[in-house]
Parts: sequence; structure tokens; C-alpha cells
Amino acid sequence: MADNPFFEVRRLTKNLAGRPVVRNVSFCLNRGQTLALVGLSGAGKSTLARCLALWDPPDSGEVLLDGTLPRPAGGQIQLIPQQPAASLNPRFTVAQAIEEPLQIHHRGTPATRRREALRWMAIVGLPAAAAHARTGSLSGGEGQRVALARALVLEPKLLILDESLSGLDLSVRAQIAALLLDLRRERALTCILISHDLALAAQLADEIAVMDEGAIVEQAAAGELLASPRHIRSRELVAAARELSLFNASPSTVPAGIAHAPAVEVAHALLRAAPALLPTRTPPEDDLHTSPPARAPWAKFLALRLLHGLILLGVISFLSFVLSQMAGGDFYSEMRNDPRVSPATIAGLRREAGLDRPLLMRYGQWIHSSLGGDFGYSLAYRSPVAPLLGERVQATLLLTGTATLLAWLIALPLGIWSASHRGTWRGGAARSLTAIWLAVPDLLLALTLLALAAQTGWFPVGGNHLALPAAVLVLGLAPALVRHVSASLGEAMDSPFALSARAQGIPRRRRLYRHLLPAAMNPLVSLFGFSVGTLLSASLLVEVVTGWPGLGPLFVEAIMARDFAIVLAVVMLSAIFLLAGNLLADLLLYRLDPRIRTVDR
Amino acid sequence: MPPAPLLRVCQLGVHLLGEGGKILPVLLDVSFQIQPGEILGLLGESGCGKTTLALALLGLLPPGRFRIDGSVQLRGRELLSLPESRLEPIRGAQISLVFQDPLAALNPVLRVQTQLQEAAGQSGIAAAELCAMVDLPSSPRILKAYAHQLSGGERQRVVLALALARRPALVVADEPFTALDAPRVVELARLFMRLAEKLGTAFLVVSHSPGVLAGIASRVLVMYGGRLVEWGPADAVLAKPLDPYTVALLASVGLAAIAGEPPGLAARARGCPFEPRCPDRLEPCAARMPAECMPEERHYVRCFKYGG
Repeated sequence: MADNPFFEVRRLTKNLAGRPVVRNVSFCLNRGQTLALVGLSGAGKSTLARCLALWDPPDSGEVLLDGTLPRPAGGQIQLIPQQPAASLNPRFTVAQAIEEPLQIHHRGTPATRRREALRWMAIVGLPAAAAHARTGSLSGGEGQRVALARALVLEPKLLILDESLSGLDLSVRAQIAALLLDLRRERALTCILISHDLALAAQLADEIAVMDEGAIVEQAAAGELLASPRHIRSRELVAAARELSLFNASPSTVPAGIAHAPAVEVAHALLRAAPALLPTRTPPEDDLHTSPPARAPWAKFLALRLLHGLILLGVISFLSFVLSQMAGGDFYSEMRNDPRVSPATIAGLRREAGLDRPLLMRYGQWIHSSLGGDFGYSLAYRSPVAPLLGERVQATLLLTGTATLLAWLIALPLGIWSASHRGTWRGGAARSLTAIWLAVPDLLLALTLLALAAQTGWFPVGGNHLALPAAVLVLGLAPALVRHVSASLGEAMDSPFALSARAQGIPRRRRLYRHLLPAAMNPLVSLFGFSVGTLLSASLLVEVVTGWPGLGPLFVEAIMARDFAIVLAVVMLSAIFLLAGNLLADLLLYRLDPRIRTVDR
Repeated sequence: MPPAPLLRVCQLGVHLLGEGGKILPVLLDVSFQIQPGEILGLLGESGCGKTTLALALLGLLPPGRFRIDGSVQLRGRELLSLPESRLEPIRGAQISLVFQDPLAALNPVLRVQTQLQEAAGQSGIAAAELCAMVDLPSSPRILKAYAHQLSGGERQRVVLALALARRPALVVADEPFTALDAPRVVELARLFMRLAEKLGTAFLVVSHSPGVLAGIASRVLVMYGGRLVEWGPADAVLAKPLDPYTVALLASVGLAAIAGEPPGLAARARGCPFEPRCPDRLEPCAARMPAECMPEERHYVRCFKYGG
């Protein structure tokens, strides 16, 4: 034959995660024809669909439309994905959703685009009044119609429907199917229909291709495939369709007065006539070919996260160094105002300290000294930075460690209590109090406590006493934690598995602590890492205000004196803290959440 | 005398307490019975009130948001008036629920084995035995797995095993077939039949697909717009439907569309909910709901076409 087929797929193969999902698929389709791709879930149908629509590139093989290679995103092949209503942006109006493809392809003016959108709305059976409804407010059937109009507005040569009709109510499915049959008849629409429902495929398609484990194992005219399936998978599907066919249950009593399309009658007659093809019970799914779930190797996970952290630290160190140098002035700038010091002396001092060298060289020196354990040289103290930090780091760690621990110890029970008293007046009161508490600035809190302590003498003030600074930090951190604990536990309580546990009769307390709390841990662990990471920077201010001898006072002093080596060291320390906190969270999540730990099979 | 029913639902009504004091009917005047060991089918489309009915039977509707009246008796004991603390020991042990979406209904961070043990509670039926009950291999791959590691068919069986864990007399299954391929649907449907026969468990199977109910249910209830419109032996209801809605619904299996949309909650208060779409509508249809009548042996319908 001289003519090319309208749509042709040649030896298409696609691997996902190193596993072949589509294997060597070839088929042809004539203009105006509908091909149904049927198969069990996991057979590779959706992956094939994405390749056919040029959403994903195949690993090998090609797709030809009218004898040429179609351009990706050219609009000639349109795919309606599974759950089309969910793929619409809920904030768009119906008209906007339908117009958008025209806009993306620079077709027409806003006025002509709106006209086109309204025309297609009429074709798919949406009332013009619906044009300004948000797509988020539509019913399942209406969402289907919008998705269809959106796909068809570019007048594609080929339309691919991926399970678009499954999961719909029968009456809605019938409406959409009738619409598709109309479009085929009136516009010679060429279609690929993907479904696991053979009975539906038989009603809508000219040809049926059965997919199994990524390959097309049988392809035939719809009636022929239903009457005499050859491949074992086709037989299984036909037998199941036959068993679930209502007309099969009592063949003589098809409800009177039903207008069947002739093709439908043929399909049903064939379904009825099909011999029993399966043994009475298929064995449970084979347990041998599915190996235990693969584990993402622990060491690799850790190494990868550490590597990320190191790269990030490098970038942060460079940026903070450059920024500190751009701040203008240096440790000796103040001396210029002193008439007793000559400019030549200052220049000499700066040369001695290496401040006149090029930026990159100074950065290199600083990194070298940091890696050597000195963290640069403080001009104010005339000493390497590391020994200056030593005790102060310990003091800060003591403060932040105590504060984090206490904040979590307070927040967990409060959050759990607040979540389990939702909807009661006590729960409401607790929520409001938390909100108010959350709005109080930390500085105000610190000053209030300080004043209180000074007035009453309840707390020892200043110097080496932990109580006041720790109290300020805990009071600053805890309300946010209470909120998060309450919110994520509340979310778990609203989930279907919480209702399911209730339906199983699992008692309330047990449900809360054994079922819901573990499921709610995930965001809390991330938050824990974050709270550890940010406490260092949060505590600097509190230390200054309360006089705690940690890094805070040193940091402020160094900024004032433009003693950049100390400033940089503290900045880097807080960066390390943040990264370490996140790493801790990642490791805990890896440990706690099976969904992160195991790779999907 | 027929044997005492396991579950007797009498004039159950559920109203949603909407904003601004609005009271919206979700279920109206629902009455039916289930015998021990019976598989009863409930056929209806999205939004008709099927899931609300399932939750109402177990007392799982949030009390502040719904007004519930009528009567639900399990073995002669009224459930609607029981406080939560008295319902808790009944759930799971006497009546349990299989949810629509098995992936969402399983706890994502607990292993299958742990969930089976938790569901079995004090009754102490071993996880392996529960697996065997639902044709799951009790291999480490299944028992040690988390929900996301199982196939759709396996998940649905685990959810069923959870519902059966304390050998309840009645299992309500809400759309258990939707997420499955046709061959898996057939397997699961056959499993329901074997369980009903072997353990004497009664099932209320809620579905929007008449084909599967025709295969397993002894009787079928058809629900539309929050009301039962037709009920009777499965063969009679699904093969020779009487109510115009059932006739139209079954025709849509052959892709004959019903014009119009199902009614919203606000349109449910008076009259027959199918009236606006009904090809056979009569004068009184919009004004009031007809009473039930029995044009054929044990086959009931609420439609003026047949009296009422």
C-alpha cells in the first residue's frame, strides 16, 4: 500500500527506574478509528500513553503521525490523563481552562479564544452559564466534559483517553461515551482508549489490543477478540468481563425499550456467546515473582546527604565571606579618625594582617586556617578564633539543648491534648491561647521576664544562670511546636485510616497513641530537625539580652568592632547547626517512615 | 415466620446540619433488613447517600453535623441511642466496615501484621489465619509490608481481613470493587460468597456496578437521591426492573445515557427524587413520595406507576 497509516507506532520501548515498562510496542491506526488498549493495572498502559502523547520520550522506537514525526507539545496529539477532573487547576474558571491551550499555542485573540471555548462547551454539553464556574466546584461528569473540551479545542489529530471513563457512575459514563461516539461520527476523531474494562472497550472501539507486562500480546477487531481470545491474559479479561456483564447473568431479559447502538448489541451477543474460559477460581496472585521490597541502602543515603551538606557549606562560606568583605571598612577603619595614628601605620597594619590582598586569596587563607582548626584570626583579640569560641560554644549548646528538649517536652502533650479536644470549648480556648502566645515577639518576652525577675527575684538574673535565658527560648519556641503537633495529629485524625481504625472497634486511647501518633510523626520530625537547627541563631539575641556568656555577646561585640573572623565563625557555626539539624531529621525520617525507606516496587 | 433479622433498619433519616441553621436531607425513610449470612446488595450512584448509610449503621457520622432519626437494630438491640463508649465494643466485634479506597484506609506507617493484630484485639485470631481467610499468602512479604508496598488486589484483601478480624456477624463493604481490575473484582466477589457461606457472615455490599451485585447478592436495594426506590430478589430487580430509575440505570450499562443530573441535597425534601429526569412521570410525583407497593412476589417499588 502506498499510503502511510494515519498513526503508526514502531517498536516503542520505555524503561522506568531501569525496568522495562513498555516493550517493543508496534501498531497502526487509521483515521477515524478507535483502538482500545486493555490490560491489568501495571501492564504499562499509562506509560505507553505518555510516550504516545510525547509527554515522555521513549527509550527507543518512534511515533509517526500522517507519516511524519510529530513535534512534542505541538498540540496534534492530546492526552486526557487519569482522573481528568483532578488535573484541572481548581482556581480556573471553566472558560479559562478550555481557553488556556489556545493561549499557550498563540492562537487567535482573547475574543476569538473565548468564542472557541464557548463553542466547545456547547459541543461537550456544558451550559454556557457554566463558563464562569470554578473547575474546582464541578461534579465528576462536568469535570470530564471540561477535560474533553480542553483537549479538543486545539483540534488534535489524535485523542488519547487514559482510563477517563473508569470510576464514573454508570449514567455519567454513558453520557460521556455517547459524547465520544458523537465526536467520532461527526468529526472523524481518531482515538486511543485505555481501559481495564473490556466490556466498555468493546462498546467503544473498533479494535482491541491487549497489553501484558509492557507488550501487546494480542490485537484484533473488537468482536473477534471477545469471541475468540487467544492469549491467556485476553482470556482472563474476557472471562471476567463476561462474569461481570449484567446481561450474562440473565441473557433473555435485557430491559425492554433500551436503545442500543448496533455495535453494543454485537458486543453483548458476543459476550453472551463466549465460552467459559477460566477455571472457577483463579489462584491468588503469584507470590514468587514479587521479591521483597528493595531497601534504599542506608549508607548510600547518609553519604549522599553528607555530600549535599558539604557542598552547601562551601557555597555558604564563600557567600558569607564575600558579603562580609563588601560590608565596607575593616578592623582598622576606626583608627583613621584617630589623629595620633598616621595613614602609613594603618596601611602597614593592614598589610601585616593581609587585608590588602585580593579577595579570593584572602578567602583561600581563611578556608585554609578554618580547615586547620583555627577558624581565622581575630584582630581584636590578637588570637586564632577557635580558642575564643571554645567555652562559649559549650555555654550556647547547653542553653539551646536544654531549651529544645524542654520545649518539646511541653509541646508534645499540649499538642496531643489540643488535637484530641478539637470541637470542644476547651480545645477552642487552647487554640486561641496558643495563637496569642505565638504572636508575642521573643524580645518582648525576654524583656518582660527580665523585668519580672528583677522585680520579684523569682529567677536569678544575668551571669551564669540558665533559668532565665532557657525560659525565654522555651516560651518562644513552644507555641509554634504545640500548633504543629496539634495540626499534624489533627490531620491524622481526619484521615480515612483513622475512621477505619474506629470501625474496627479499636479503643480511643489506643487509636490515638498506637495508630495516629506514629502516622503524624512525619512533619514533626522535620520540625524537630528545624528547631534544632535554628535554635543557635535564635539564642544569640536572647543571650545578649539576658547576659548569658555564650556566642551571642561575642558575636555582637565582633560586629561592632568589625572583627570579621569571629563574625564569620559564628555564621558558619549556625549554618553547620542548621545543616546538622536537617540531617538529623532526614535520618530520623528514614528510620521512622517506611515510605521513604523503601523504594516502590 | 421468617427468622429474626440480624439487622433491622427502620425509617432511618439522616439530615446534614448546614450553615445558618439549614437542615439538608441526606437519607430519607430508609428501611430494610438483613438476615444472618445473607449478601445484600445496595446499588446507587455517587452522592445518593450510600456511604452516609454505611457510616450511619456503625454510628460513625460526626454527631455535631448530622441529625439522625429512625431505628437501627442489630440482633434486636437499638444502636442509634447508644453512646460512643457502648458502641466501641460493638464495632469490629459485631458489625464492621470495609472502606472504598484501601490505600487510604490502611495506616501508612504500620506493617500489615501489626494492623491485623490490632484489629483482632483480644480475640487473638492470628494474622496468618486472617490472611488465609481472605486468600492472601501469609508470607513475610505480605505480613512485613506497609500498605504502599502491596498491589491493589492485596490491599483490598488486607482491608477485608481487618474487617473480619473479630468475626463480626455483619460486614458493610462500601464500594469494595472500584479500585480493582475486572479479574480481581471477580475473585473478590467470589471471596465474599465463600465467606458468607463458610463463616455465616452477612454482607451489605454497596456498589455502583449492577453486574457484580447480580453475581453475588441474594437481594438488591436500589437507592436514588437519598431514598430506596426499589428492592427485591437480585434476579428480579436487575433483570426485570420496575422503577423507572432502575430501568434507566441498567440501560446505561449499554451506554444509553440518562438526561439530566442527580438531585442535590436541597432538592430531596419532597416528592420522588427521580421525577425531574423520569420519562414516566405522573402528576403527584413532584408533590410527594409514593408509598411502597409490591407488584410482584417480594419485589417492592416506590413509584406511582405501580400504585403507591
